[in-house]
Amino acid sequence: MPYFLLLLSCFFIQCKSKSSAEKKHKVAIVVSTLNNPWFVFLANTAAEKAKSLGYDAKIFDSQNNTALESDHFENIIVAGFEAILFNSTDADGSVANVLKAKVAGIPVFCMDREINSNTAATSQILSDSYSGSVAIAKYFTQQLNKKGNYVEILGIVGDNNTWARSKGFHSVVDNYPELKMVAQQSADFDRNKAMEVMESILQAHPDIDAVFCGNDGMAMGAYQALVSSGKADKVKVFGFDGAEDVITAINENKVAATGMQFPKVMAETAAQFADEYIKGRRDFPQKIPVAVELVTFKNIQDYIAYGKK
Amino acid sequence: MNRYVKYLLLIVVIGLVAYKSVYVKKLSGMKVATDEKFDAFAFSKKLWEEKLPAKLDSSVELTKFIKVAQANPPDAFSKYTNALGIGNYRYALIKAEGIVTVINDDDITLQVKLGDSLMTAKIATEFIYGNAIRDASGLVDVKDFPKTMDLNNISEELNKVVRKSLLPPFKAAVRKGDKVIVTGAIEIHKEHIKWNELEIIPVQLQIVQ
Repeated sequence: MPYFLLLLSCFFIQCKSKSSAEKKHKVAIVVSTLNNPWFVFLANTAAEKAKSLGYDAKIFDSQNNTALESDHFENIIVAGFEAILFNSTDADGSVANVLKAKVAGIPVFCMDREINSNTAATSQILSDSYSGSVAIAKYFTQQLNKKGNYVEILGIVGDNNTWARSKGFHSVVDNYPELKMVAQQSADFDRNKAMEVMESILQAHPDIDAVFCGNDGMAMGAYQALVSSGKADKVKVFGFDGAEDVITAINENKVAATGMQFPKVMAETAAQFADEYIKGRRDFPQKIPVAVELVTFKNIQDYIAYGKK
Repeated sequence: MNRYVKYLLLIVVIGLVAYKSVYVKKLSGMKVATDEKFDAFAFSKKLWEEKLPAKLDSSVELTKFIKVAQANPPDAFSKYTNALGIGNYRYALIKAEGIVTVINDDDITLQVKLGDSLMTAKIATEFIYGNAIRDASGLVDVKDFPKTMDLNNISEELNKVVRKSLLPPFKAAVRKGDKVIVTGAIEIHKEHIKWNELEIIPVQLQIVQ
């Protein structure tokens, strides 16, 4: 009888260890929106990298809604995910969600969008938006020979990237008093909104020389408005992201420049960090800037959408 | 009488508890305590005056850097360059000597000897922006700055010194044909190196008569 019990317990132990060996670790990817190809690329790249490292990966779309993002975090915590690769909807509003995960012992690695806390996330891998905009602004000022009227279209006002890009841009152009900003308005990083905003600005300020947009979607929206008003040849458009249609537009001399971000680098680094965390690493830098590169007609041959050739 | 003593004692106890429970501090004092702002100006001034000179003394000759980079790029990048973030841009502190051939509003062109041949390099004299000096110096560690804006402000302050103090007297004095010795920072794109488009952000400038 004791031998039988021993054999039985060995059998159960073996079954248990076999089932836990087969059970894959899970990584969640929470992204601000899947309504923008740039974020789709970011989320898919993070998922692919996590899968290549041996994890089950699931993508959650927050639809630019902090409340929905909060629901995702609660579900992720309950479902036993072991790490979160996170692209936030709001620099302030998302902190509480990240803290919830932290309390539950789940590391969060921010991708591209910063949250306003230096202790909530395990690490934040962020595009160096400020420096990227400095490079764009330098080129912008050179292209306009240091004078002219311009418009700035901002992204979501609650997003740090919006202000990092704007501040970087103004850290250069504000040194040239003959460069005059005639309008500054938000279009929430949305192409259609940017088109409407630009149409209305053009009615009030028909004599402009350039428009700086906080992302490429808005740059394309602004460009469409300029085409409709017959000003596309006169007004120089500047974007930020390195999205496919803007890369094509730069190649066709329709858009003057963009700041190339590297979502692949950010997504893969975040997935790699999550893997290292799960395997025991704990010393991560709180923030890692990822360089943004200036893309113009002169060097467009070196780039493809979302990265370099 | 006993009742009055009891009330008095009760008032004293409540008063003591209230006194020990509430602390009054000046709002201005609290603001200082919670809003400790990084002083980028002071940090950059100290870096510029006390730490950067030694780094400039050990900067690599531009021609030597180019030779090493052409022969063995990874070796040149690991030995002579630095960058705070992830990416293709690397930054180096270099020293060059050459003859001024062109003076533009935004830059001057130097003709520099590269072995038996000549090459041109530009010294930026107008658009002094970006992270070249901060990153090339190797004196700033990203781990020490959890706030991204503090890092940006260090670059801004270093660039301001160049724009406001270093360049005005140099621009006023330099002439075509002058021999110039420059020590400064360069930005190199690892994947697409364009030696003929080198732009030096100056940190030290000397016109040799």
